[in-house]
Amino acid sequence: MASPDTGFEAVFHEHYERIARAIGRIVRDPARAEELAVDVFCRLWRSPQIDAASAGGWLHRTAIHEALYELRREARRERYEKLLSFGRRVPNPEELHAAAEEQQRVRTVLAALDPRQAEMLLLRNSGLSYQEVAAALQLNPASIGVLLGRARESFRKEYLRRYGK
Amino acid sequence: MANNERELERWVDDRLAALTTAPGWHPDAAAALPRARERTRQGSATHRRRAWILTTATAGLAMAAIAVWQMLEPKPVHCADAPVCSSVPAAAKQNPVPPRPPLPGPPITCELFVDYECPPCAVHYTELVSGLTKDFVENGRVRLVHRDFPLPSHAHARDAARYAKAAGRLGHYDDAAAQLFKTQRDWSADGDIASRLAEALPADAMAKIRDMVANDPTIDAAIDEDIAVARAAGLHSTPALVVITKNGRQPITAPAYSALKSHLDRILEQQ
Repeated sequence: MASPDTGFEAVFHEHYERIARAIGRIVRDPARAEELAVDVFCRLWRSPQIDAASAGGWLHRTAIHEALYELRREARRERYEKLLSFGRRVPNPEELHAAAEEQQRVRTVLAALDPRQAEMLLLRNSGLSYQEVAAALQLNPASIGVLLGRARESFRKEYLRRYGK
Repeated sequence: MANNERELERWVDDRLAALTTAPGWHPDAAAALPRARERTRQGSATHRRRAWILTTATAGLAMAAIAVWQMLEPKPVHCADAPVCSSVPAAAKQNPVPPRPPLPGPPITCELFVDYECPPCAVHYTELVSGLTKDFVENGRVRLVHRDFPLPSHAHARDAARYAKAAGRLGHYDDAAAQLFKTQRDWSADGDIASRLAEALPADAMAKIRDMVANDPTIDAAIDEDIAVARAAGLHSTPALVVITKNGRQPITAPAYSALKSHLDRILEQQ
C-alpha cells in the first residue's frame, strides 16, 4: 500500500500545473499564482478525508476559490492605495495594453461578484461539464443550468454597470 | 437553451476568454514540491501548537468551572460550628445513608457524525435519528450523541455546524438540525444560514445563537473536538456512525437504518 506521502506526491505531480494555471488565469502575478497553488495542496494535505478519486475536483474548486479571494484582496488594496494617493494611480505597462485592460476588467468584475457565482462561472469556463461543476460545488446537477444562467446575468450586469457596452 | 441564453453564454465566455496566463510561464511541479513539503511540515507544527494551546485552555476552563461549582455547593453544617445540632438528626449520624450507586447507562453509545451541507446527510438524517430514537434511545438501550464533521469541500458547512452547536447549547438542536437539512439547498447556494434557522427557532433563542456563533470561541473548539474524534475513528465522509460498546469503537459509514438496526439488535442480544 502506498504511504500517505507517496500518494500526496503523486496527486501533486498529476495536478499541480493545471491548478497553478487555473489560478494564474485569475491572478495577475505568476509567482503569486504558484504560491497560492502550493497553499491549495497544503490544504489538501491537511484534509485526509479527501480521497484520490475526488482530489481533482476538490483541488480545482479550492484553487478557484483561493484565486477569487486573492482578487478581492487585491481590489481592496488598490482601493486603499487610491485613497492614500488622493486618486493618483500610475498604471503599470501591462495595464496600458488593450488586451491586458480587458483582462483587468474581467478580474475586477469577478472580484465584485458573489463568490459562489464567480466560482461557478470559472469552473464551467475551465471546461468542466455541468455534472463536474455540480460535483465540485456540491450542488444538485439539475439546478446547475439555472444557477449558471443567473451567474452569467450577474456578470454581464456588473460588467455593463462598470464599463458600459 | 433559448437564443437569448445562448447569446448570454457566448457573451460571458468571450469576456472570460481574456483571462490567460502570462506568456512563457510553465509551472513546474518538481520545483514546487519541496516548497509544499516545507509548508506542510510547518503547518503540522503550527497545528500541534494550536491543539496544545486549545487543550490547555479547555482544561484550565474546566478546572475553573469545577472550582466555581465547589464554591457554590452548599456546605454541610457541622455540629462544632453551629449553635444547635438539631439540623443533623442523631440517628443519621449513627447510620449514614450509603452513597447511591451510579445508574447503569445504556450498553451502546452511537455517535452520529453529520455535515449539514452534505446532500446524503439531508436524505438519511431523519430516518436514522427517528429510527434510533424510537427503537433504541427511548427504551434506554442506546445513547445517541450528535457530532459535527463539516467537510472542507463544503463552503458553508463549518458555519452551519457553528449554528447547530450553538442551538444545541440552548436545547434547540433537534429543531435546528432538521431546519438546516430542510433548507440545505437554499443556504448552500447563498450562505445565509441564520435567516433560514430563524424561520424555525424562537427569536430570543436566535439572538443568543447569533451571538454565540459570532463571539464564543468554545463553539469552534467543540467542533474541532468532534472532527478530531471523527479522524481518530478513520472517518472520511458523512453521514457516519461510531458504535461504542464495552468491546470498543466501530465506525460505520453511510449506514442504512434497517442494516444499522439489525446490527444493534445483534450486539444487544450478545450483551
